Amino acid sequence: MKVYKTNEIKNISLVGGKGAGKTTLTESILLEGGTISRRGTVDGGNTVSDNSPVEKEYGYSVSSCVFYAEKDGKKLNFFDCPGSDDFVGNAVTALNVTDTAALVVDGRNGVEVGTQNNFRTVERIGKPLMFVINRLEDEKCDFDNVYNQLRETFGNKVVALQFPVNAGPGFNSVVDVLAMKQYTWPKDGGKATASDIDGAHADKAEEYRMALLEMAAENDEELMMKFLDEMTLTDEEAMKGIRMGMVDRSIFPVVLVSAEKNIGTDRMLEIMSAIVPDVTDMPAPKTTNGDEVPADENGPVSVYFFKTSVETHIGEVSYFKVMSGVLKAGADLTNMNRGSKERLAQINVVCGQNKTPIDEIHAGDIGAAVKLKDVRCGNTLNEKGCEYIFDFIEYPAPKFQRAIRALNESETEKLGAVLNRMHEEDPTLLIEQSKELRQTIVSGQGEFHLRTLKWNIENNDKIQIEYQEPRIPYRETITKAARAEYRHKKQSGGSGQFGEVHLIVEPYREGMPEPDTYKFGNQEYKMNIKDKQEIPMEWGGMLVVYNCIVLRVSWTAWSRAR
Amino acid sequence: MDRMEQGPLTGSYARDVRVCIYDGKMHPVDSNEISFRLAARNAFSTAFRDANPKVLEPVYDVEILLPADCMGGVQSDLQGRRGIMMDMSSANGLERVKARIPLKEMSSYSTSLSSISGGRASFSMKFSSYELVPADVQAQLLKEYEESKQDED
Ligand SMILES: Nc1nc2c(ncn2[C@@H]2O[C@H](COP(=O)(O)OP(=O)(O)O)[C@@H](O)[C@H]2O)c(=O)[nH]1
Ligand SMILES: [Mg+2]
Repeated sequence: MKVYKTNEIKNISLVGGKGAGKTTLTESILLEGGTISRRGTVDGGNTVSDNSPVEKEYGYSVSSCVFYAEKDGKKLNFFDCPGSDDFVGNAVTALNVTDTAALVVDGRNGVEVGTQNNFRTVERIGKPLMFVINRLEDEKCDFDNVYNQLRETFGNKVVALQFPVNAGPGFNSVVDVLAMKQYTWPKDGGKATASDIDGAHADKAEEYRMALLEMAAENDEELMMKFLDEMTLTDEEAMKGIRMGMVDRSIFPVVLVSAEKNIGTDRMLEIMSAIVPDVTDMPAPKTTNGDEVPADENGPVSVYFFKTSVETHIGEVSYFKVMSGVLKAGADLTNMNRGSKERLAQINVVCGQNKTPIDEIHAGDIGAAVKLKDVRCGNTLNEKGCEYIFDFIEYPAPKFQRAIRALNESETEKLGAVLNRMHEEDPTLLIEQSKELRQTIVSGQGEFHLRTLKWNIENNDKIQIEYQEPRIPYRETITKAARAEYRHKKQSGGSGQFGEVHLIVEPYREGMPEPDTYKFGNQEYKMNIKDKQEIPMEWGGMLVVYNCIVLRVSWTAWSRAR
Repeated sequence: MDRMEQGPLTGSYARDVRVCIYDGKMHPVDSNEISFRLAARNAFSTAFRDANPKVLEPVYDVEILLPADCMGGVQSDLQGRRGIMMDMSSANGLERVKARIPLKEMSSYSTSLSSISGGRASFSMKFSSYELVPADVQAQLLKEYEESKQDED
């Protein structure tokens, strides 16, 4: 495996609704990128991406899968993200460490909820985005309709780089207006042959090309002048313009594939390596101090760990992004969050569960290390003298809560340890031991999220658990003053107990005047304050206690008359 | 005052109370710390119960994004949850509803919302404040607490 330089690296998240075809596309990308020689299928349970037992059992992706492909001298790092909102935490992590989202759309259905939800997530994080329309070979695929839906929903920033020659069964050819060529694939997919555009499609191609060039030109004054003068741009200029447009999210390019038939994948990778922004095109990430750290190979070595997972037979795998400098195998680093020293004896590039050791990894690139001593998800490790700490990922707040308990009470402690580990692997799972509710509360993104947690605990850790409704943390307060006295007396045998207390309670409000005179029934109590204690309650609100002496108890006229 | 940790009504935390201890009696031999604490505790409970006590519940600010055609379903569901609509607006072809809903009524909201909207709506929630519960809910809570206390005895 070749070592790639910072400007040869592009990081891309595959996002999109569940079932859009991301995991299938992953197999095709791996095949076309030369990383695997045979594709697995989602239904066969043998894909690179859905490799955990729970994913095989349920048939949907739960965690993101990191892999790469090499194309035209570039290394494209990909994350296959789970589609459902319940596992959005993984997509959020992936989107934060990558620079571009490829939003996969099911060509049969066009814009779905999952498309919109994922679009919003990308929008919130502010990353460049492109659309990949999948299932072009499906008889229910109507390209024009899907393309119009995309433009209606997401605006005319959406611009096609391709249109199909023959969508539906038998699909094997597209007109590509970036290259102004027609691409045709063999029946079972793979490598395309490029040819001149068939005369029948020439006008449409010209129209799409002009629309694309106009948008590409808009991002740069020089390009705009040239385009207005000559009504055309060179391919280099067009690609530069598109890349700039992607960086400020003013262009969302659209490409076409059939992931299942592996049609379009190789051209998609070519396009990605040409137009997807690389790390250096993007705004530099900031440290917790607000300092910008550009991905600079000559900078100090700084590595951010964004994901840990436990793999069978291997143990803990820690995924990282090199934020700055060149990380070399054997590097001695300091864990900035934990203060510990760590030697990264072996560093790897990763493709699902396959790891290939490599000598060095440059700023902007992604890798993994196995069985580290003391590295948690979210830690920054630096070479000596470097003070950067990164913490740029913001996770969505939880939406679904349950109380959890081990059926066998003796396993409570073990369950606690397991839950802590789960939280480290998935920061959107929050665990709280509530002293108030006398329950352990787990919070996540939805019912599926917690169901998957249960499956993992029961099957991997062999602890049977049960979910219950969480109790509600009510509060009590009073709305008027009241007086009471109580005598505690126990003087039978041994040393006796005797105590008597008289007190008045009343509602507390911030800034209220000190107690003075109270009236209960016919009696007035005039207070003389000896001392005062203000006790803020851990759970909010206040308790204020006064020690007083009653100066005068006066009787009202009515009682005096009696 | 340990009675604050277990309010006299429902055993929940108590808050925002001012206490004036203005008198006490001791016995020359038998008085000790414990005796006073017990006396204070009981006096506090009694006074608290006489002071027109109320139960407060946590209320959340909830923001829902939904397609216009499931507005009716979402609104009537909100009513069933004692929710109060605060604001409505549209953005990006979707409607945005802001509401306040008691936590007690939010259980499994994500599941119901997705069945009402066919998975097309999403929401986020954030703690807002403690509010008085309605009288009928308070009566119910008190009853449940009394029953659970009896179970323990
Ligand atoms: N006909 C057809 N089926 C596809 C295509 N891509 C994916 N599928 C099928 O759609 C289903 C969901 O695909 P999957 O890759 O798991 O979607 P994901 O949830 O986005 O990862 C699987 O059964 C795939 O075999 C395609 O291009 N054409
Ligand atoms: Mg998948």
